[in-house]
Amino acid sequence: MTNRKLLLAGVAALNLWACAQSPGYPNPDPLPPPNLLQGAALTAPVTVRVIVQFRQAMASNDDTLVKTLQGQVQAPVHYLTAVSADTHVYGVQLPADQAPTAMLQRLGALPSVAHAELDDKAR
Amino acid sequence: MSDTRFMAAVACVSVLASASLHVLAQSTTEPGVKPRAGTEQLWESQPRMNRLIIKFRDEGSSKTTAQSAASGQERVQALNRSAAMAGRAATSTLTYLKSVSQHTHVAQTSVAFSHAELKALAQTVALDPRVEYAEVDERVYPHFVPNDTFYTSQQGNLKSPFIEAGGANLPNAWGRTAAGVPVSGAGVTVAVLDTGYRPHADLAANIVGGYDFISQDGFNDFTTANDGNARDADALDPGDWNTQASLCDVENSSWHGTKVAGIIGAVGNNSTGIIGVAYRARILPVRVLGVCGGYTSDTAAALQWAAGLSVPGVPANPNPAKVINMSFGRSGTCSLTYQNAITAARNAGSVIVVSTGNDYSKTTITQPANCAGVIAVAAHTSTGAASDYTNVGPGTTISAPGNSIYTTRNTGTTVPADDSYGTHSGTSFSAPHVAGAAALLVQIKPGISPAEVQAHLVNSARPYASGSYCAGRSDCGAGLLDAFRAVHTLLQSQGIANAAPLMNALPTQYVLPGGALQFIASATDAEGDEVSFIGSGLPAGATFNAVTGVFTWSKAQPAGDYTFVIQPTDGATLGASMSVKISVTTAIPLPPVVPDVPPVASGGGGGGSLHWIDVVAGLCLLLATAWLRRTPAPKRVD
Repeated sequence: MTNRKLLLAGVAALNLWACAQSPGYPNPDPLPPPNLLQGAALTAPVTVRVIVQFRQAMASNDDTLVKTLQGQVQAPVHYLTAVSADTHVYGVQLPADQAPTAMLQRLGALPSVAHAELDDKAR
Repeated sequence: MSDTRFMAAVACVSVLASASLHVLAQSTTEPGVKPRAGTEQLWESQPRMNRLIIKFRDEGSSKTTAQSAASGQERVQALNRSAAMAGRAATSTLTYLKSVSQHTHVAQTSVAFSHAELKALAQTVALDPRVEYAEVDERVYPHFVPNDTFYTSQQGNLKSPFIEAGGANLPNAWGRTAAGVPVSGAGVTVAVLDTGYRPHADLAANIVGGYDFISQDGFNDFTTANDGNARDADALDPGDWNTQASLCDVENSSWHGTKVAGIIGAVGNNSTGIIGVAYRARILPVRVLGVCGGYTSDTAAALQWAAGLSVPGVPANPNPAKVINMSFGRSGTCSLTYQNAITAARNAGSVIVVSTGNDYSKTTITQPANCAGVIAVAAHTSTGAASDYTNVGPGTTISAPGNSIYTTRNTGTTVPADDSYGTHSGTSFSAPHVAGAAALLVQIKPGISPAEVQAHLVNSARPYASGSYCAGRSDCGAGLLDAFRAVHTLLQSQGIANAAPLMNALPTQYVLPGGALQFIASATDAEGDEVSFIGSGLPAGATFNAVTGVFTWSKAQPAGDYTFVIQPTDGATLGASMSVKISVTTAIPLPPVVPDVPPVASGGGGGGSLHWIDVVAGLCLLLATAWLRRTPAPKRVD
């Protein structure tokens, strides 16, 4: 490899590194960073159960809907069960040390969602 | 004697003979058991009686039980030879039947009498100087007394407040009928949202098909369900034991659902185990609690399904519940998911009963008890004071027995084993009392709204024990559950009255200064209710048993006149009070002489049972005698 090629590769790497270190544009989303699995390598993910009440009745196991939710929370989501026609339960995989508050806020921000809350246990 | 006169005389003799035979027949018939021919109607309207309780004066002897029994026989037998009984011996003799105590015995008369006749006989017997008192051994009409094995010894929580201050007062409620069916929850479905059920022998007959609502925890994770699958139609409880300390406390299986279900709907009057509050209700087991509890979502889904609403992916409920019990909770304000489900279920007509929790809090109750539209149930002890562990606070509706509640369970520590019974405490076990009582109300009025049920339960509640923490505190709810009063107020709203119990009269009670006095208050109740007594003006040193009506004053002093007022109650309606005069005096008057020949009109007195034929015979005899005396004997002319 010539010096010129080495120089070009170095500049490209520097640019890539710079791009990775800082956003290319300001984030307009006031909510917390979406990638909730950031740092997941440090702690194993756990499934957090979330009850989502939609503004209207929804099909109980709609793949498109699941993908929408997944895109919103930036974490794996799978359908678990139904509460009623408009209320369903999803499992969201979060790092064990990750508080679910941000995820709930992001779900609640979806126009189709009326309410989202953790599915806690009682005894 | 002319033929006419002769025939009249023969007729009179015939009548007299008939009367004699009638008396003979009476004396040889098993007394008091079978009605005489031709008196069926009388028997039905006015039962015949044949037992007296006789207390003999203490003659200073100290005898064994056997000696006492023998003595009782002799003493009763001796009464037949007494002067007072002399005029009656021909028609009625006394036979020793059994002993109540050393000096108190039950005697049986040789013929059965009306109540008035027997009372007159008791007065005659009481004239004997050896007798302290004699009274009719009153027949108690059958209120419903369950024959379940542990009812008497273990289920004070269901009894009247006169027997156990905190009792839920079920017996007289069970004594009522609705459309001819005993008030028992018959025809009403009560959903138990809990850990599922075990087919306990004392419960299984009342179980209808439920559902297991416990979904997977995560993808293919069935830790909570503990049965290897998610929602399905099998509501059996596989056990909820936990061995992972990271999840929750390590503990054995609770069989919580079977315990709760037993309080509501254990089969009653089956000579086995216990009786449930609504012992003929249908129990719909809905499994929502598993290992380390249950999810809000599963509970909310189950709640709506139990009420007859649809839940995606779950078959329709063929037995919608009018009453739903939830004996669990967690801290925090009512979640929207709970509230939505509760509102939907209540709007569908279901009464929702929830326990307030066992965190010793006197300011907050757990969710879903703190949600709008539920009956939130705290717990109280047998004395009617709030249990120390119970949560109370804003949102508390009512309290029910929650200490040492005997119910159905299982012996398994992990997986199910054998049926058993045990004693448990907690608001988990107070709520089912209210759910059961609600089922009784729904049976009486099938279309009743949840708000009406709540109003009847709240308005009929008794106050907490005076001086206890919750006495007078509105945050503790309306007070103590009283099932009979709730049933009574509902029946009353339907125009069905409740007869007040009536005190049976008691004469002035005389006792020597320093002497012992005992008498028994009794009352009758048209519905056959269990009657208790409220006494006031008790002399110092005397005692009065509100349940048995026994007044005891072992050492009556000082001399003077006392007035003890007794008021009967069936637990819902007070009867007129009666004043019993007690005279502690050295000048005890002689009892009035009771005439030997009782007035015919009353049928009372001392002559035994007067039949119409006796009266006709007597009149015939009088007429014949008078006629023969006034007419000279005719001379025969050949």
